[in-house]
Amino acid sequence: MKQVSFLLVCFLSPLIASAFSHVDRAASFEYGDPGIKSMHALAFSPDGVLFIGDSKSATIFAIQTEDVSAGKEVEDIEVNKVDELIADALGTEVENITIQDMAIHPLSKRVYLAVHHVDGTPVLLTIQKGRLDVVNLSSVNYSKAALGSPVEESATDRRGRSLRQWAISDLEYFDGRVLVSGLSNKEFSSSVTMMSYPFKENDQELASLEIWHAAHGQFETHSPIKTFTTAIINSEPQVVASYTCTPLVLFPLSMMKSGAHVKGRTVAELGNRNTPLDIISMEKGGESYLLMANTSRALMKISYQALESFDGSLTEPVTENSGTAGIDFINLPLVNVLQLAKLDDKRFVMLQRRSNGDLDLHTGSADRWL
Amino acid sequence: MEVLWKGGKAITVCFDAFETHSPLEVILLGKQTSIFGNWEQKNDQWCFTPVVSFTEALQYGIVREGVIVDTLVIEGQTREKTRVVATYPSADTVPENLLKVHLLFSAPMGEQYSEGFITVTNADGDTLSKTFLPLQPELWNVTHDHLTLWLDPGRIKRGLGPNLWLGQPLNKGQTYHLTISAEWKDRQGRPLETEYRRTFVAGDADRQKPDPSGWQFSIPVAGTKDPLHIHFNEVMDFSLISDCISVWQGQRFIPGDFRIGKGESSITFYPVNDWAPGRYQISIETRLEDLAGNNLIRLFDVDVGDIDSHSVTEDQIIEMEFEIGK
Repeated sequence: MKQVSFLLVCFLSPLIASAFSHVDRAASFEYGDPGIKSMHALAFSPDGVLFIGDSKSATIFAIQTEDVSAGKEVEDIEVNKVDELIADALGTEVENITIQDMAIHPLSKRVYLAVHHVDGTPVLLTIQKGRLDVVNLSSVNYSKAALGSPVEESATDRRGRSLRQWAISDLEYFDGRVLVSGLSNKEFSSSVTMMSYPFKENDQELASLEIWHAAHGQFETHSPIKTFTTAIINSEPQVVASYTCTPLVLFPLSMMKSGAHVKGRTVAELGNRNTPLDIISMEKGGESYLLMANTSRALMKISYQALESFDGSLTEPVTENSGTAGIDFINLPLVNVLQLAKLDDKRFVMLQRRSNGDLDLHTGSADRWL
Repeated sequence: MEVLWKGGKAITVCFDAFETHSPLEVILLGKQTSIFGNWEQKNDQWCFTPVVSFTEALQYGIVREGVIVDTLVIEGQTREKTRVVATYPSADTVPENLLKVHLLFSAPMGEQYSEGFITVTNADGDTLSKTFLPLQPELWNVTHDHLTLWLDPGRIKRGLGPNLWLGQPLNKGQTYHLTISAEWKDRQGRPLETEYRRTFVAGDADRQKPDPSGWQFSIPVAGTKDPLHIHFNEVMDFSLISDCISVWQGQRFIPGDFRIGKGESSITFYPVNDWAPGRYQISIETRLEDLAGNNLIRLFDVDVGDIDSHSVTEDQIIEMEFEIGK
């Protein structure tokens, strides 16, 4: 064995950024089978385009749902044992399916569910008036934008080895843009990508985000964003993101540029040993609120007014076990809520594991719960 | 009745034509719901392809006009059961601040969450709680036969709340058992061949960045396909080793195969072509991590107040050069 000299260090552009900036997007819709391999996150644009985050192919698909039966007042959505209903309709057992995400069509108010079969087959289902249907994705109008596809200039790709696999944790449409949060199966890293919609060539921004994690008492650049939403706060579009161990952090959209390193403002620390599952915004009496579902804590209600008036950032560690800090929140008497989606201005739909073990899809009223 | 298989899955069932124009349905016996799928008439047969493949051992009924006219049980094909082929790090002793564990399977696993199938117990047989970070979606590779688990970073990083309250997941000198339940299903919905169990011991924490200047190389001989051995001075993360190292001659990429050495503390490069005399560079991406998640340019766990810890470093390349004589 012979030791050789240590030579030089040269800088390359960030590999993550280059992976994400190498995009393969159709500018317009194609007709056919989009070839979706998995469905980890769903979101709608206001006009009913369905965005599907596919971690396996690291691609965001935009689907024309042709689901435009708007106008009628819809009834509350109440489906008990929805997992059994799905398993029966797929000819299998409950343990062989997982519900990955839920979204409600803004016009038809139909509930869309992304479901994975144990064999990896993704299935898109809809529920309306208690009736379950399957969406045939073999012939739809779609466009797509690839994330993190192999980059030619990387030595890793030239060897034909696998690159990072991105797990898409959440996605949302906001004002002509699609935002995607993801993390890597390889090194400890996390990212948010923002792209214009309709998808265009070379039009993705990947920013690295940094937060002060008060439960951890330090800055974190690699924590995975678990769920987020977007909102206008103090006249500025912002990402409201929640992380494992539950810091709530604001990032101005205007600062999310490729290569930018954005320091988020931690406005609340909502307790450790918890993972946030879903966030939506609701209104009551002219006030807006965030609703956040959690693994180990109740459904939380947070006032946007409090978000707007809290102009600081938490920088001191929370010293008490499971302690909280920052803006106030209220624990609603709803536990084990796994998915949330806004039905209309006054109602939201929850996927909730009841105390008797049943997995129910049901409607909550803002007047009653907020 | 004929069952058509594809990729180990029962995807279609065909029956001789019923003399009927009434629509047919397939249900799970004991249920009322018509199963989603497509009907197709092929010659004298009706064929039904459900949206997801049939589940082995379940009983299905073919229904016509509300009456069950036939039943079907999917008998599993005889084939090898899926098993755990390896877990990494493979060494019996791991640093007490170990960050990642890799599970490799012989075939694609199912889409169930891993939680509930993986347990870590201590020498007393007590099950440790909250050892791994719950992530959704989980960190599978594309072929779904390699799962990466993170030990909870909040518990590993010293002085953080979870670390103070719960302690780090592993403690030096302690013996642990990793068990993977045979109940975990593969992509065909079949349980694993057998329970997987291994024992490991937590050793000293690793609080040093990997330092390639201490790595050792064997220099190949010109005109041969001699392998190039690279010995690290510590164990590296299994999933990153082969991704982060490549061999070049100037701008020319040298094609070949890498094999990770026993214990993940070395890698060997087998060139496709004979080595020519000249200077070569071993390119190492700085995102390469050791078992504690320290990469070549940053420690995973740094003191609060250290300014460097707040800066974000870009991915970089470190090159090391060697020369093959004539």
